[in-house]
Amino acid sequence: MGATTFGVRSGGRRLRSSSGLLTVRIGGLSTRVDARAVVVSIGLALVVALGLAWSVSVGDFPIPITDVVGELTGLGGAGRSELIIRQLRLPRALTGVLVGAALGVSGQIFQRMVRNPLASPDILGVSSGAAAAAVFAIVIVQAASTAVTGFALGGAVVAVAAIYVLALKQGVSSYRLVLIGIGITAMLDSVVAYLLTRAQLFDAQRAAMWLTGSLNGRGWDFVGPLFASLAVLLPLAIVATRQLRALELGDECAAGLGVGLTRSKLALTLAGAGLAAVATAAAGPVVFVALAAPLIARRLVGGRCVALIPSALVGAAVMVFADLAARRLFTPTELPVGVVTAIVGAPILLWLLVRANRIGTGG
Amino acid sequence: MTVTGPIALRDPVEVAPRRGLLGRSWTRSAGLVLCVVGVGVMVVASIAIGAKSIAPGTVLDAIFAFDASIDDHLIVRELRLPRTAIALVVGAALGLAGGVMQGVTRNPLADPGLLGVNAGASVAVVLGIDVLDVTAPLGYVWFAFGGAAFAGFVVYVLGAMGRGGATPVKLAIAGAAISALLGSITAALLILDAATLDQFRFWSVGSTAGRDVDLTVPLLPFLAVGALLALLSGRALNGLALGEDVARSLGQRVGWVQAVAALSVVLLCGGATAAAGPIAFVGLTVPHVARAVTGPDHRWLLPYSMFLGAILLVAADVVGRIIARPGELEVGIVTAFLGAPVFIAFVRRRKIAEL
Amino acid sequence: MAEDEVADASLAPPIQHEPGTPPASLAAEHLRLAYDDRIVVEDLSVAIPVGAITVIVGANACGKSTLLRALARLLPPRAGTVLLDGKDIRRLPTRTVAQQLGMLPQQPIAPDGIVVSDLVARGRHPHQRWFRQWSKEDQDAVDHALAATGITALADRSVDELSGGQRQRVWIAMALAQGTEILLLDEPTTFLDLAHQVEVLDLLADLNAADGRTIVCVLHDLNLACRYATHLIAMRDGAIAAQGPPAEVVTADLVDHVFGLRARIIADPVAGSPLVIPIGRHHRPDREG
Repeated sequence: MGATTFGVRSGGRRLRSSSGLLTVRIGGLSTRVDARAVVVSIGLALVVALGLAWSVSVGDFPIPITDVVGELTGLGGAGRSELIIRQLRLPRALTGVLVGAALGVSGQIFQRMVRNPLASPDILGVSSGAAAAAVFAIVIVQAASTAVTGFALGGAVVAVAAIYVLALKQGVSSYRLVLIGIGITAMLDSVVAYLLTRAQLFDAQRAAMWLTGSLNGRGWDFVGPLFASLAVLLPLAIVATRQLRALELGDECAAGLGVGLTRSKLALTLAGAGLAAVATAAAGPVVFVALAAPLIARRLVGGRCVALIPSALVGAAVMVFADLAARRLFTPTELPVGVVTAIVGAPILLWLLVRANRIGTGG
Repeated sequence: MTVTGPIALRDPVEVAPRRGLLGRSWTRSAGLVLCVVGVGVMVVASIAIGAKSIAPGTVLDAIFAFDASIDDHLIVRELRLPRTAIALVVGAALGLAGGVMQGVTRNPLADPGLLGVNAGASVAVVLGIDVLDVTAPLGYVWFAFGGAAFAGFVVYVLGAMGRGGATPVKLAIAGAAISALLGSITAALLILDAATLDQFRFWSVGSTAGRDVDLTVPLLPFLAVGALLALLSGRALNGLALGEDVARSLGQRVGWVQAVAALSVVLLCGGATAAAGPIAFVGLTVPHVARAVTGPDHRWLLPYSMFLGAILLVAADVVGRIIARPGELEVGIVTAFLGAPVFIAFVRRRKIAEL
Repeated sequence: MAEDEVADASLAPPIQHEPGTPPASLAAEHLRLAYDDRIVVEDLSVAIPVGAITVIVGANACGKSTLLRALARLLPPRAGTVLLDGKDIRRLPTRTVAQQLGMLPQQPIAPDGIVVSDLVARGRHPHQRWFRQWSKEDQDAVDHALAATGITALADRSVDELSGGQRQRVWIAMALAQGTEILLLDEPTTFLDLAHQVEVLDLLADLNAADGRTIVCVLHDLNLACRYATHLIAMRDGAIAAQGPPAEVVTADLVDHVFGLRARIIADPVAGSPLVIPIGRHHRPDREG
């Protein structure tokens, strides 16, 4: 990191201030930006774009990348492939990007709020709420795919609300939120297990498929609502980053710094849980992403900023490449993306955590 | 007033061990006899009650004057007796394991389900049966032990990383994360094989019904050894409760005690999960109830946990049979549904600083 | 300590204060403080002298940290009010309170891997908005806070790597960057060795002398409290046993009453403040000679 110093002279002594952070001031508005985070984000965005283009070009019917790029940038020329690109592969890849981004941000928010690298929206009840509702929809209501998504979203929201209310006791302690989330998750998981045993095998298979996390058949009807939710919740999360920085110091310090504890925790839980709920409703519970994407982002960016946008980009990249692998590794069988993230993700996550501990950025 | 710091000092009132309801030796012995009686009562209830109402006279006949041609006799002999036996053994094992876990980690939230031990055993069993085609019961039981040990170890290491060591909250979070990961690995493996999905979805719910008794009998020696190790470590756990440094200065070999305790937990939980599938919250709630009765002395706490665990699981099994007549609710579901609110109430009651 | 810079309290960031208004005052009336069912403080009233260094002392569990936390608005009182500038502190917006009152809790935990200048910068939170995240005042305040505590050279180091004394200075710098008139510190010297204890207290004394900041802290060491306090509050069992200048307040009777310790009081040969010499069972005056 460059040691750019900005000096302030006072009484003959040169006072150094922090290096590596760029201050941007326009009129009365000002912000500080970590140069390294910006560079990393640009790099990650490129990786995501590359993955997107690659994912669209690969398939049973291969399309040259140049055609894909041409189609995406509106220069045309894809001809026959246009239908495949536009109707099948592009919306699926975009869903993956948006789901990954939402999970990455959600995971970062909760990891910082709870100050534990293993805290993820999954164990906080979002996944199990969505799962219970979705399996109920599949097994009992025999609902169609889009209706299942609606049920999943409703289930996730209700579960998180219940957990929040139960954790409310003279304010919300982050630890209490997590522990109660774990309890509710166990309860809802038993509901899922019960429904699976009562179902016809065919329904059980559909449910199990949904439970693994999959991007199969995700078309434009998924991309639209996902994008809209991200467009609302992501800015909310970014604005709340300020509060997150203070909350990271602990409830007492944060209160001393003038943070309204209940209000900011509510806003952060809303943003984090909302993003996770939408992502889980769209693609099913994809466990690994919300845990690992924030950790990877923090390793890339260093400890100076909250790294919400890098987390989003890492999450998106993970989903896109995992889906690519899931689709193509065992041709002609197409695996759901959750299989790849589960099997590949676990050892990577453990390695990340062990490394983080050694360097002192974990715990 | 709680002081937070690197040495988490407890309120002086808390440090003095709370006396349980039964303070004296003879009252505790009497209580233990009462527990055994309670177990007997539950066994009777379990045999007499079920999804199908069977007259008490017929039940007695089924036991003492068995006639294989009468359906009701078959139900009692072939269905209820075995499941009662399994519930007894598994409940005792889980209650005992929970007591040992809570003692060795000094963590009031320890439970084989919450700390990923059950998930580890399940995944390993699925791996053994499905992927590696191990069919002999003595074969996959080793998988269960291995999986339980591995998962427990990983959870402990993850929970102990970073500042503060293995605090209860960090362990709980680590356990939940590992359980989720292992669960999705299991699901991922099953997706690839529809036939096993059909089998596994029934196995993955902790249940005492439909378990082959021939598979359970070979587990008994392991469970017995585990129980023996656990009960014998009662005094050592009392020492550990004062903190590792104090225990060492009192002459205890802390590492040895922890290893033996861990071994007993692995044997008990691995065996229980191999017999009945993953069952949660028994190991969490039973020791707390036992502690309210006996106080923190592990030499009494552990036997009480054992009997109370047996009572609890048999009761849960009976409830499962009554609630959903003419069908039934598996015992793993009943314990999760009843145990989770207890857990939540417990978390709400406790001061977070203590965790 | 050779590598550390000399702290220079005159470089401390200016207190954000409306010109023409009197300095902020802190007081409590008829406070009842409790944790769950246990009442710790009952019917306590106190007025913190403006521009002075007030030290609260007392035996373990006498309620001194509890009182401080109530004054800092961290513990809601069951009865009574805490008054900031004569207004009920719970009615004031949190931002306003945070701009006038800064608190350093016991054993604060820094996020892993955080850099010193980042941690100090977080003290500017009450003065920032989501659209005004790093103004010139913020930058200057942080620079001045680092200089005032003598840790400018450590600005880019990770907080985890620092020694206990250095880390405490970082937290004080954060509180300084907050630019408040009133500074509350809960046991800032516990777990520090004697040299660092004196260093931290000297820094607080300098800050008080330089711009009249009101400082309230809870200390365990009665002798250091006597040396540095302008106003001493001795508590016992949740009530104030005595308060006033140390020279007037600290007598053998008080020490016996508040701490249950027999002692002899002499004048500190270095500072002139009362020096408490404990008399235990082993060293009794009539036993020697």
